[in-house]
Amino acid sequence: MFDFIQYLFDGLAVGSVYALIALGYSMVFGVLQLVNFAHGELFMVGAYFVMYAISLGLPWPLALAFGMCSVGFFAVIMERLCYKPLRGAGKLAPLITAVGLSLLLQNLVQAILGPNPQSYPASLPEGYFSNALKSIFPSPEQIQLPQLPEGLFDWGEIVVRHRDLLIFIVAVAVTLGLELFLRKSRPGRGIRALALQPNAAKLVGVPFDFTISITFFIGAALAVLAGLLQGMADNQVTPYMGISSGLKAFAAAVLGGIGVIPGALVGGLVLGIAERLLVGYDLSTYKDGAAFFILIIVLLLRPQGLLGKARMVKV
Amino acid sequence: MSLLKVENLTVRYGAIEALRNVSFEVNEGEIVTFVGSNGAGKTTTMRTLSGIVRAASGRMQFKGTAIESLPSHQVVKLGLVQSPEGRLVFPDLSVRENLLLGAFARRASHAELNRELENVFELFPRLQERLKQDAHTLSGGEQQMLAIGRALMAKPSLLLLDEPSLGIAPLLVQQIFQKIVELNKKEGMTVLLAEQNARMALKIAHRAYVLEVGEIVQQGDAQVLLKDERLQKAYLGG
Repeated sequence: MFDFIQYLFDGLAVGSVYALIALGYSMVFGVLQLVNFAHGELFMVGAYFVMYAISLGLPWPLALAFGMCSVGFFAVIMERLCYKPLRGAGKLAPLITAVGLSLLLQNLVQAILGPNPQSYPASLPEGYFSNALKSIFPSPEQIQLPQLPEGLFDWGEIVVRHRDLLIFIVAVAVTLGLELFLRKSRPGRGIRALALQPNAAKLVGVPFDFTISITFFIGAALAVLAGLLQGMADNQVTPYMGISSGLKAFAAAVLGGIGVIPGALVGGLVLGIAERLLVGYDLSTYKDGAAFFILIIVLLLRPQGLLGKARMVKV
Repeated sequence: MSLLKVENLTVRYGAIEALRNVSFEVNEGEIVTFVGSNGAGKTTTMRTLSGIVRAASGRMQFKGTAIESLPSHQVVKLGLVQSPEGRLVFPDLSVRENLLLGAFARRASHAELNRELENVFELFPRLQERLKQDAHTLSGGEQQMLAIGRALMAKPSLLLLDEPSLGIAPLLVQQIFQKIVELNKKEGMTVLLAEQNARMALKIAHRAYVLEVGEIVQQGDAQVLLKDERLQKAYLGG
């Protein structure tokens, strides 16, 4: 029994990272009914970006903010260049584009930065670009790594690491903050209106393109935050980290009810904990399949997801 | 004075020409109606005016500003606001939230918004009774009131009403049309109305245009058209 509770706590951290990525999938799907398969790659690119920024000597909060903004704008440009021209072209074309973008980004990062995992603090591969950067940022005397707390809550049978709890609290706070933003702020209300009834949103004056851009920006920024947390937790980044985490986060978003913000958090935590349980009970071989097994079961019983609302389509 | 002036508007959906060389205008203080059967191009006209559909060619001027290439939210800001066909209320939001979203383009203060909510409730007391209900729980007629109320929250100088009678009990249709007249008379609201129910529309309108397969085939004083023989045969059931 204590084992079981212990595994629940152990699953929080990885589940929270899934949740942070899932929020982006969910928001973008909400406004465009598009599954942005390149989203997992934004998480990976973000993890690299922040790691190098830290390695160049930037204090980590600055590196994180810088990474969130840069990858956020990158996502906005990606949407403008690759998805916007395909509006009105049906659902398949943007979906294939998303898969293509995902592969492109993975391979691009692999080609430029190498296929091997890198750990903090990492130095950029040699080359003109990195030399230029190094001349701007002379080799840092001290690198300030974000410190995840190392302590433990020790309750006898159950031990909870502070860092896991911290990651969980960050995910909950971000989800609440996002929900508040969507309900109270002007751009947030625009995003909600667009998700509920796109043409009506246009007719009340919600600026369509701008609102889509904001949605992509926020989703990407949260993925970068997830990238940093995951990078710190594993102490390494790889060009492939976006594939499995991205797919699982997508499963989490659907599981919780895609388009529903708290659903992403619930879905992420359910998957994270399920994986940890499998590992705990010596079934770790099946760990990566767990996400999709749960997804299939939930979709059979509750196609709208755990927190989704079923809606009858009026004809 | 001409508030809206449209010249030689042509709209295509792929190879299909939905509107061909349509020209019309709406003057301040008027109720103008487009009548015509299903597929005549009424809704296409409305959607093009609001910037949801793009014209293949032609010019549209609203308050002297060219609007044919403006994005929809800027058209709303200029004061050209639509209550769309099928109502398109925000289903999961309350009546109040729906109405407040109507004022999205305006950045109005709380006091201002409350005043305008009051105005809408004066016109449609039913909405005040339903204030906290989700919009999808309303009847068709109530949703239509909500869609019109939402459009009014944007403070339009020209109100576009697309098929306000669609799928609504006849008694409520009467009521809604009375409200449109009231708006026009009391507040001087200019209205462009697209309506399949030609008799109802012509009764309350000053001027009318008759659309047939994407072209204007007749136009003029609404009361005169109401008695027109050809129109009586085609649209007025007698």
